[in-house]
Amino acid sequence: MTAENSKTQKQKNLSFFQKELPTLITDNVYHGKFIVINDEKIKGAYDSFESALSFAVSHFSPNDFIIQQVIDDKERINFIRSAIA
Amino acid sequence: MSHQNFFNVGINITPAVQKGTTIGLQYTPTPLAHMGLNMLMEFSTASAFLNVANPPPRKNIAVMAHLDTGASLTSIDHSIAAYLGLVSTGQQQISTASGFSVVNNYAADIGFIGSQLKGIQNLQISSCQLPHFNLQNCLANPNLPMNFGVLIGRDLMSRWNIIWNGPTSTVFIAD
Repeated sequence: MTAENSKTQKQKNLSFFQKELPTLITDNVYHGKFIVINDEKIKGAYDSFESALSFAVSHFSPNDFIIQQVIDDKERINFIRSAIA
Repeated sequence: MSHQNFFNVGINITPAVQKGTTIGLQYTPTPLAHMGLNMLMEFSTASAFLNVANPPPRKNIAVMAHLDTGASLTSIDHSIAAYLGLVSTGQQQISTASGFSVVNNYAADIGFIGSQLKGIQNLQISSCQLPHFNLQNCLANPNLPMNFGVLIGRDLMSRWNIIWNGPTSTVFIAD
């Protein structure tokens, strides 16, 4: 897979996550979990990022998956005072 | 349990005083109040990526890190992620002084240089742009306290017992 295709694959996985997030947040199975997304499908849900990463790298190419925590960004304060966009 | 005490005292009296002279020392909150806590860390490619077929070359960097209670996740400057060749593992929305921004998340192994604090493998980290950070200066001399390229977030702080003694500019961290 080319780097360009990989970038597209990541973007597709991210778009899938953003689309599904409102539903996933209300699901007790997924809320707060770290989910592995590959090929626009949820392939696993884990309590920790480390566990999700271990699963993901053993099954998929590094450029073909994303790991996202199922949490509303408004639920956590993340104000980086000295950083800029 | 290991711990690290951040307490720097430098005394330089020129010319040397005569024997019997009384010298008073006074603790001051100024260093912590002005600069916060900055500590030297090491970042490298996450161990998990080294076990795959055709693993990426492992690079590491020593970089100054700044304790930031406003950051939920420990974050590195974008230039450090590029230097290490980190592969994005996802994205996150952050609030900065200039508004909301979507940034890449990564995985990395971290260590604390000159400290007994335990290192961590495969830690999820985020990224941001730190306007005062200069990668080349960091590579030439990572010990410059104000050239920090990392914000230590509450994810790491949650693993520690931190005592912040403001009046004496002393910080005690135990893991």
